[in-house]
Amino acid sequence: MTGLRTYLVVFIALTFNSVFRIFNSPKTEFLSFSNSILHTILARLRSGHPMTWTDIIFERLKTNCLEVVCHVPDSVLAPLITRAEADPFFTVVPLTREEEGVGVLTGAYLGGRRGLLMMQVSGLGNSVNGLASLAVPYQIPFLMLISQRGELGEFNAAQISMGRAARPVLDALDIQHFTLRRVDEVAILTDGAIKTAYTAQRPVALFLSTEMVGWKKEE
Amino acid sequence: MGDEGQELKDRGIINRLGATRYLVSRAPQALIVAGPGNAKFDLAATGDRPQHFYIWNSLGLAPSIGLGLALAQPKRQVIVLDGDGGTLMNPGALVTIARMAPSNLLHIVWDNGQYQLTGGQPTATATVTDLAAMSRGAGLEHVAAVTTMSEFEVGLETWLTEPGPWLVVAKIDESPAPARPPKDPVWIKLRFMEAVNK
Repeated sequence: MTGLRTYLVVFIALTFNSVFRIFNSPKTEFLSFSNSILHTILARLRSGHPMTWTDIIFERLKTNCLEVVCHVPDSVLAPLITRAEADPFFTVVPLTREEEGVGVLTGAYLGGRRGLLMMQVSGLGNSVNGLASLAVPYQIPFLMLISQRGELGEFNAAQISMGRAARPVLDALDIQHFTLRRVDEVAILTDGAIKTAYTAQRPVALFLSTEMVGWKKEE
Repeated sequence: MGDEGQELKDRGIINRLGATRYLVSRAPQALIVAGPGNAKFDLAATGDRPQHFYIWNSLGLAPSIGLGLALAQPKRQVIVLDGDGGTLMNPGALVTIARMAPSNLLHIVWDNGQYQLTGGQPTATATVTDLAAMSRGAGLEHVAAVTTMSEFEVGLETWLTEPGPWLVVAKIDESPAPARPPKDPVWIKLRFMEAVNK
């Protein structure tokens, strides 16, 4: 009986939430909530294209309520940034430098909102003291979504060192990291990384491997 | 301090502790983020409260934290207290704040032209750099530069009522700050989050 009541309460809460959001801002919320998930799936089915890693991560961010999206632009992450900018669910904060994002996400978390920091791996280098002296000691959780450079197919010698140092740096800071190598594992790794971040009250990093997303061509 | 302190006071030069005290009395409900160094020491000296977020390292991130907080809590007044050293460490934060433009953010830079805690080495604001001009150049529209306590008091009425984001550069004297806030970051974080929810 208790279990049934719990399900009923959750069902009513979710329905109320959806109805409230739709009435609150009909056009955008309807588009945002219903269209986003169903539309993506239907569009993919119609076109014959499978869900991309961008689609999957986008849905996981919404499901897990990671609303504040801090980023310095990067070509691999560009489609995800564009989708977030087009969706009023997200507050997108374009940064001048990745370390700012550690501060912005700290302030957002203190204010009760979750988020993520998207960057190319070179930006991790720019974030180190923010992570070490703010996120870690103050126990501020967020997701870090990092596109890999310096591994497979790299043309730019200046990218290699930070690309290789990234994981040892995170290990030195005791920040957990996972690597997305196949599209079929993106959903589970993303969900799992987010869950652990908020349990540990610490950032967790997800690397987008070059084997999954491809590598930048010289032109 | 002695005669020199009195001379500065007579000329109306802002004392950081006095100005912080006045600010807290005029904005008792505000959430206040204080950067590393004397900004947070003087905030603690006005009387430690849960709605003070004291930053113990990460110089430069005070305005970024204030931005995130202002975006997450648009109905609350958010105040950032920082020094010229912190602003110079992360000038890009001024740009990001200008782009996001949260109206509930008031960012005060206590400018004494030096890194006071490390022995008073001069910063660029002592000679060549104008933080107010940098702020306007970054795209901030509501910028004020004050050098006396009466300018600060008059200005504060505007900065707390007119929509921002506001950037105020306040030239201050060289008084050190003897008070010390709580040191435990997790304690600071948890009670601050509780204060946000009140």
